[in-house]
Amino acid sequence: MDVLWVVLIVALVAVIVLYLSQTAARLDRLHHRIDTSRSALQGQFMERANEVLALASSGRLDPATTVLLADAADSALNQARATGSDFPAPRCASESALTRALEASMDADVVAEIAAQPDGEQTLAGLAAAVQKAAWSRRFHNDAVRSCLAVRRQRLVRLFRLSGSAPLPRTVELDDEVPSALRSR
Amino acid sequence: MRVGIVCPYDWTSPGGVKAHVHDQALALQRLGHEVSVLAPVDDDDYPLEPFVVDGGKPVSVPYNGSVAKVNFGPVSAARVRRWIKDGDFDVLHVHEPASPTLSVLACWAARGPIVATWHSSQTRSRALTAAYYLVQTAMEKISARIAVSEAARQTLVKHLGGDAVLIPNGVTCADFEDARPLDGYPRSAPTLFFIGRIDEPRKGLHVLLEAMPAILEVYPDTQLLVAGPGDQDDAIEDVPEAVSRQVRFLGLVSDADKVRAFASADIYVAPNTGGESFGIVLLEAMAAGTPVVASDLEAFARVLEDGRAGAMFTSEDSADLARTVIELLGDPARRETLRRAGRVRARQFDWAVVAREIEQVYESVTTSGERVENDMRGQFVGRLARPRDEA
Repeated sequence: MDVLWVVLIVALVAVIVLYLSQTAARLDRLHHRIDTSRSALQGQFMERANEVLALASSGRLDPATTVLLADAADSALNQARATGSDFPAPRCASESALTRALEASMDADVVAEIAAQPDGEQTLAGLAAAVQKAAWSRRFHNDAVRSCLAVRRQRLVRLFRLSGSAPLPRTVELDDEVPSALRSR
Repeated sequence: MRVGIVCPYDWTSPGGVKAHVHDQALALQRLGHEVSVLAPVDDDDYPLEPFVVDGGKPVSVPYNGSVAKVNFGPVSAARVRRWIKDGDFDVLHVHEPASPTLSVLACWAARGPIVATWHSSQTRSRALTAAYYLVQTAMEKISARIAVSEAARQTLVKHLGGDAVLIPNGVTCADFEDARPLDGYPRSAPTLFFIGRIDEPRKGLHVLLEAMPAILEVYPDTQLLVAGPGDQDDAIEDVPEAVSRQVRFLGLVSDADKVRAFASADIYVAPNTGGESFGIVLLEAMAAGTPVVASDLEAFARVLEDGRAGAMFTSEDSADLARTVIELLGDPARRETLRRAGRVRARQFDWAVVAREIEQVYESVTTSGERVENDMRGQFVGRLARPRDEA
């Protein structure tokens, strides 16, 4: 009887240890994925702001639009430099403001006008790709964060502190809707 | 970029996902990428394209209520690891990862930038629920999820949580343009075209056959061309002789004959009653310049822009279908409008456009410069299946 108990307990401990080590590896992978997606996010949003700045300084637009876009892109870039790969509230606000500036200025007429200029199609394609990639990279990042949070909420994970001292990851919430005139460019 | 794509289903038999992977590989190659496709190969005599790597012979097993030909087990896992190691990919792209196939094995075996595409809008199978922990671990490695349709995206969100970006199926428009009609076509009387499994009720051939008497009353010599596998005698068993003699069965057609059949028809009819998450055939017809009449399924309405790029009728309503077809046959100007609108719409889904979007997803997940490698961490079973020279 005693032997049976010992065997049972050993087996139970083995199962728990196996589970914990698998889960630790899983968490490690998830944290790594978040690091990667966050740096992609950082890069893509910088690229988006740079593309807008390039368009603003290309002389393809009227002066008012130029100032509007350059200002929005510039403040987004300043926030990005100040905060690195973090996305605190002020940064999200200035990225959302850039989105709204794009939405307001890049209507169908303006887009058609740029497209008619020499190399215009190319400029638009570059801008559209940057805007799209930024939006996608945020979705991919938030996906990674949600997967990680789901695991970290598990009782055993919290009990054994499997995630160590890593802070709880947070999703990045901002408006990055692609302006309708730039879609399918 | 070096791209490794995993096709979950047999490469040597026709199928939607296989066709998608094939066209995707070609489109990515045209953009200058190096592509390797790992796929199950059932028929050893099939002439494999140079970019396809044999993923082993699939086994027929019952899965999710039907019989599927898939690959699994340690031998397949070892093959996947070998392919990942030899491929040295910048990005790994798996299709239909939530199925017991090479795709989930690849997710499980690899680390690095992994992109996955969801095709079907199927509900979660019991097998998946049972193996949830292991599958979940594999799913968690996917850096970017793509859904080919809104229905597929909703399925994914419901069962796995999170989100996916929508990149639709592509169509290679050039393959469908300027096709030569079949011999003897166009006829002097109207020709309608249907393609799909004729014994699969959801493809809706019976709805079209029930609409035929009314159509024949107005256009007596109308012919219905039917392409697709299934028992022809069963299909017209209960159909009046006046209708059945106007039906011509082509059987399972080659891709080339499919294109020619589109070019032979005045109208392509898609009477599907459900189960369609996208509607690639509609786009093929539109690329070929054949006006489309389709049931008002949500997926079809999206492709046809709520009737702007093709005519729609109430699903499963034969009388409405007959009315729509008769109207269109009597209105050449509207057919011409639909022909043009259809061509424009199809071009938005051209593989050149779609592949560019897929490329942008790859660029989004590869910014760190990491490559695809074998993943051994926390995988006791995985270690047993590692490539031999590594062990």
